[in-house]
Amino acid sequence: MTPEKMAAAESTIAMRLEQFQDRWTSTGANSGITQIKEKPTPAQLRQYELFKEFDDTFLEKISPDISIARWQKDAILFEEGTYVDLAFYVISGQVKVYSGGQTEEKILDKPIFDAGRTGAIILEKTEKPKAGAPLQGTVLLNMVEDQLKKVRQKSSEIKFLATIGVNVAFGNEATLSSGDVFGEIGALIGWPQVVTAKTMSECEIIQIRVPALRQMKRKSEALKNRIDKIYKERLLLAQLRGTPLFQKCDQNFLQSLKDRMELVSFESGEPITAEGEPAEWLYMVRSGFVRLAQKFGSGEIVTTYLSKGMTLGEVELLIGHTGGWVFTASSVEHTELVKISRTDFEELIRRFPPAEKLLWDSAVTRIKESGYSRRNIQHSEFVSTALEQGLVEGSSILVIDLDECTRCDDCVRACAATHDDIPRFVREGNKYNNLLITRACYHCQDPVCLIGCPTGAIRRARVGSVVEILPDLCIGCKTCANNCPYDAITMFETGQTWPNNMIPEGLRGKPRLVATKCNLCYDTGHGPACVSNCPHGCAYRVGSVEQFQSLVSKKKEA
Amino acid sequence: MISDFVKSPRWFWMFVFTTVFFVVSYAAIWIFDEVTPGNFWGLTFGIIATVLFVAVALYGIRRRTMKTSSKLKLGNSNTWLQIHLYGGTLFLLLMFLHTAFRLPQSAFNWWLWFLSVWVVVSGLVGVLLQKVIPQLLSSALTIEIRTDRIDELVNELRGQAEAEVAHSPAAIRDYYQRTIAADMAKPILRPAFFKDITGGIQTKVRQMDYLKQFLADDDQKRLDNLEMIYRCKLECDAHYTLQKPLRLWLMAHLPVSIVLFTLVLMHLFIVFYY
Repeated sequence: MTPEKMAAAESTIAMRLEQFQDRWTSTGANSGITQIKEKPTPAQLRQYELFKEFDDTFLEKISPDISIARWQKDAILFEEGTYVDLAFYVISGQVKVYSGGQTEEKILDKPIFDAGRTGAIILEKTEKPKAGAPLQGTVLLNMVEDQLKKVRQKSSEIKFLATIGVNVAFGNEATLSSGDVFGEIGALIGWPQVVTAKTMSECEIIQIRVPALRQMKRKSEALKNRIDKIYKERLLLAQLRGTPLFQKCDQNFLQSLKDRMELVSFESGEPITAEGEPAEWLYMVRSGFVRLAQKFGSGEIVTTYLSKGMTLGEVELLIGHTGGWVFTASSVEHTELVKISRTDFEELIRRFPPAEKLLWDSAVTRIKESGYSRRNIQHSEFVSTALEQGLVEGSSILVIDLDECTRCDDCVRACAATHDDIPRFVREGNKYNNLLITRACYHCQDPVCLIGCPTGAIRRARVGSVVEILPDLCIGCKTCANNCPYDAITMFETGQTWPNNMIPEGLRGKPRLVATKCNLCYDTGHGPACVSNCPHGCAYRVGSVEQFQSLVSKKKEA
Repeated sequence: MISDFVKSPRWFWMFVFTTVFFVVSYAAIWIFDEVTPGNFWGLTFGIIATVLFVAVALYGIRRRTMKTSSKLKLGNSNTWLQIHLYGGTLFLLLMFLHTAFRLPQSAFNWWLWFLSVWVVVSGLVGVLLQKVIPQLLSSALTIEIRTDRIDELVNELRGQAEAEVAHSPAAIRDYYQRTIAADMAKPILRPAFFKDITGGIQTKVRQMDYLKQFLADDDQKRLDNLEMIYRCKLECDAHYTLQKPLRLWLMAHLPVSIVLFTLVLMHLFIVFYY
């Protein structure tokens, strides 16, 4: 290795060693931690209520994803609007959580993703809530919306991935102390935090990364109930109020409904309902996707899919004698739902006629979709493709129209030129109707690539749905690349080797790999270079299945 | 509808309007006065043609400075390409107006005239190729592959085919050696793909369907696998054949454009210095 390369490696390592301690913070840049103990022993963990029920083997297994940190006073654990893949358990000290604490100047200093060029990110129209009022958006998102209005006139077409309100209303705060858990819901669901958390005194906090949290939730019924209970108490009400179905219902009714609702989760491919079986529940999707299919000849056709906020069961419960479930529903990935019994459902529609109208609208749409799919198998095929190829999951998918693409590779070259000569995607992938769905990062709504990163190098960027990799923190373990279902993360050889003081020790002397992926050029001040540098205008960023479908329709018309 | 034929109707209509404007202007001038390359009218057309030529040439610089162009927000490549295409065509018209549709008198001017025509015509041929070939490629091929990866994929496919054949009965082995092995060796240029992108592949694999009826069930599966690999290889050939002109065409356009640029500079120097 040349002396220059060696020096570069040493400097990278110095930076990495410094940052290594920060992987347990939310942003990787903050350093409020004064002391950290990684991989605590089962005995140490079992001192705390949260871990008491687990056996040694299990605790040993999840311990790499747990740390005990001592935070100094006035340190920011995470900020409102950021994505955090950690849950926090307070051992000692006090943590203040509050909403609406960021100043405008602070926000404007940060890179704002220019969605105006792609139309991929669509911002919900939200009004700034008054202090004490239920929270609809977040301060950060409102600020970003203001920013985006400047770069794009049609702001109504822009929508941010939804965030939700909490019981800490705008301008208010709450204090958490020993035994309290927070951050777990955002971490588990992959949504941005709606509050800022700040230490009020020196605190000792157990930090649990998502992989460990998921395993703990699966293993322990009590913990699952506890997390569900916290979720119900803190978020469900706000989430219900945010869905069209329950928007008009009064507070008292929603409170009572919330208590009777059951939270259920399903793993990928697990059946939720079976066509023909008695239907006694109304389901609403909290996160993930549900595939709806119907028998058709000897097989079945996929009629549609449900995403966050959509309901299942209204056809059966409203019409009544449908002979059980009209659809076979199964989860496409890890999916969280709430279910409401027939009795509660009947009370809901009796007390709130607007809800009944909405459910009828939804039922009619569902029946129409079913009929359409039966008449038009291509539509069913499209829905299946959208589910199989992850189009439902992505928030910004790079699609190339192959009827116009001259294979000049300017998109890839532009990507490389923007990112230090390392292209972050290849012009390959699946085809649908002569549209190439490239292997560029989809920026999934539920990014599985975040799971298991040992250093926290891969994370949600500060704004929007962008998932990014911090090269200085990446140790090239390939976990994210292996997790990505769409092969959108590639490993790049830097030509350096890890020096002998490297942590973890296993890497010492080995070649240094870095994971790379598309970050939508969000930190460059311009939109995705692949799109703006396509000379034939045949590269598109698609933000939803509907956008993809309209692209397909346009092509068919042409 | 015009939008069925051109990517951006707005640019097209602007081009038509400008063309009509210059032609009508020329006709009006021609009625009342004479146009020669050296008089006021001829020089005016010549200067506009030169400015247009420089503007058109900037597209090449835009393509080679992607990072800076994106950073400076100099517009989408697509807009630049439209300027390049329509501006380039307009340049040729203005060149004819500049020379008043007369043929050149000196060798130097012949070169200027000939290279201008060559550059614009080769550019239009490129546009035609870029319209036709992508549609051919996407019309029937199931795989999409980058030119630089074709060799690698063909090698991989050959390895797979040989592994499949190694465990097959003599009938398949013989058939492979006699009919397919040579095709699997390397990417092959097959002009037939220009004529019919599906015909070449279907004809080639039809023999396999015939052979299949004489084989046992397991061997039929092996032949199916072999057919799949062979189809994939033939699709690679289709990409290899069709993507080649998309790249080679530029060789006929770009270097000549650079020579023309130099000659135009010399022409300007000669005209204004002397």
